[in-house]
Amino acid sequence: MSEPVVTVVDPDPIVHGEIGAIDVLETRFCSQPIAAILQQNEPLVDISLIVRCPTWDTDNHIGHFLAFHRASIVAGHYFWYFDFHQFCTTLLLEMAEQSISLRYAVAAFACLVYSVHADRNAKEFAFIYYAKAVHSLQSELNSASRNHKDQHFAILATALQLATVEVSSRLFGNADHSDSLLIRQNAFVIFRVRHEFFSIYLIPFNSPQPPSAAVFWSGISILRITAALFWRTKAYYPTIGGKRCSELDAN
Amino acid sequence: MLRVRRELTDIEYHLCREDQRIPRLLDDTWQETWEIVPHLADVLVTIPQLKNLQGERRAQSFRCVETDLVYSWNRLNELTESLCTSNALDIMDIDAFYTSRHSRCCPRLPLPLQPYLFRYPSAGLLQLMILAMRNYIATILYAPLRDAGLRIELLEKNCDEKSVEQRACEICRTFAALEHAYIDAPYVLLPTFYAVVIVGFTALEELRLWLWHKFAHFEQSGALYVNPVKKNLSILWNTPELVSQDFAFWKSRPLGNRRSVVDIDVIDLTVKVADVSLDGCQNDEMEALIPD
Repeated sequence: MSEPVVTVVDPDPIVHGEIGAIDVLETRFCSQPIAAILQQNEPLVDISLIVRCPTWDTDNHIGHFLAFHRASIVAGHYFWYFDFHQFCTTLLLEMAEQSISLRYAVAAFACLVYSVHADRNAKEFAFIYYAKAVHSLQSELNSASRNHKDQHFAILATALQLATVEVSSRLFGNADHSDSLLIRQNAFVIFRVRHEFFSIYLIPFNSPQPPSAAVFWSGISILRITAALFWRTKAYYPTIGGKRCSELDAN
Repeated sequence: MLRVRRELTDIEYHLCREDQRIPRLLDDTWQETWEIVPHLADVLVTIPQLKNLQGERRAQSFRCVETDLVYSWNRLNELTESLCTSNALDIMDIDAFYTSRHSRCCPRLPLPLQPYLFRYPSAGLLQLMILAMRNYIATILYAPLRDAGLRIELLEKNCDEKSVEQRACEICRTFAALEHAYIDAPYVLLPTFYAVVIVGFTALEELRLWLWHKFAHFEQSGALYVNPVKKNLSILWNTPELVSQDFAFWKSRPLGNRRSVVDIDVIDLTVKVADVSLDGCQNDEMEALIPD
């Protein structure tokens, strides 16, 4: 197969201010002027939708972002007011050591915060890790044994962490909304997690209305409360009359 | 969920180390506080429908709203009482500590307000949220109902303008204390933004300047996370120019007190704006929703 022919302009006329960006696009990538293409009413590829390959190897840098999470991220970043069990700063990271999907999800959130504090470019990594987390979560859901509670905690934690990334990506200014498709895909995964493992604990809303922003936020907070309860039940179930999780489920 | 948690508390609380009892109590009380949120969310989505309902259906919807609001108000009372009984909200003596921290960047709280100094700052966070939820009920949820002639006796007693203003002052005093306590960990305060915003719904003009400076700090901490709230405030305060600049810009020229009447239409509009923000609508579409 022959190599595509690319016209190289040297020295770079953009740097030297001799021609504009449109001219360079025409010179390097188009067989005819862009104005002429626009007049033909033919569908154009939206350049903003093309996924750009990062210059770093993401897997090599996950440790960096997890270390950043350990050192700098506090419960307040998760919009938690009080973290009695140090879930955000300690337990979550310990759980992430046992779960690939959760590790990616935690790294995604760390990237988002890092992009605000240190380097805006880290946001690209956030969505790469997010995508990897969704992919891993789907695999784990397919292979999860219903009797393996620890696996359920990791799956639930991943779903919650991904939901946190979704909200935070908006809060921390993902202006172009290029994450939407991926986030919608994850919405189905989270829906599945909720209904496969925790459906009996979900509180129905009285109003049969389409979900508003307030309901969306409440849903996330309810899911968090559910997670907190399950975590505590796991740790303390012998103290509540020796009941096990399965017995609580039955009740 | 809470029932199981309460059972656990009965068993474990007395087994806790002395220094862990207040944190444990706070942890439980936070979960009890979050349980109120879905009730308030239901009220928020029901209020805009009331204007289109008639007769028995309207009365039935209002009864649901009333039940939710009365329940929420009473629960907030109970939670505050349990915090006071356990001494979690103990205040230490203060002597002008506030001047040493934000004195260079922010104005003082207007006199005679002085910040609290909590023995347990994390309890102050909970107090802040409970106060904010009370004023949220009074100014965002109940005010439009009252405006439409729908009265709830319990809230009539507690949601007059003077009570709301007193609670707004308490929010400011509490926040100033927390700002001082967490000066080295400012990100702990990120979630408190929404509580401070509630102060903006009161008519206290003397708090306005202090408030702008706090908003400017929040904006520095979280960049665009303030914007969705700013859009809502621009409607509620009738200040569309708010959206066009950072809060820092308005520090030197705080906007006049042009608070809109919070009626059902305004609530409807802010709910729509919130939906638009989540759906990724562009600014020009959002602006089309804002009346001139």
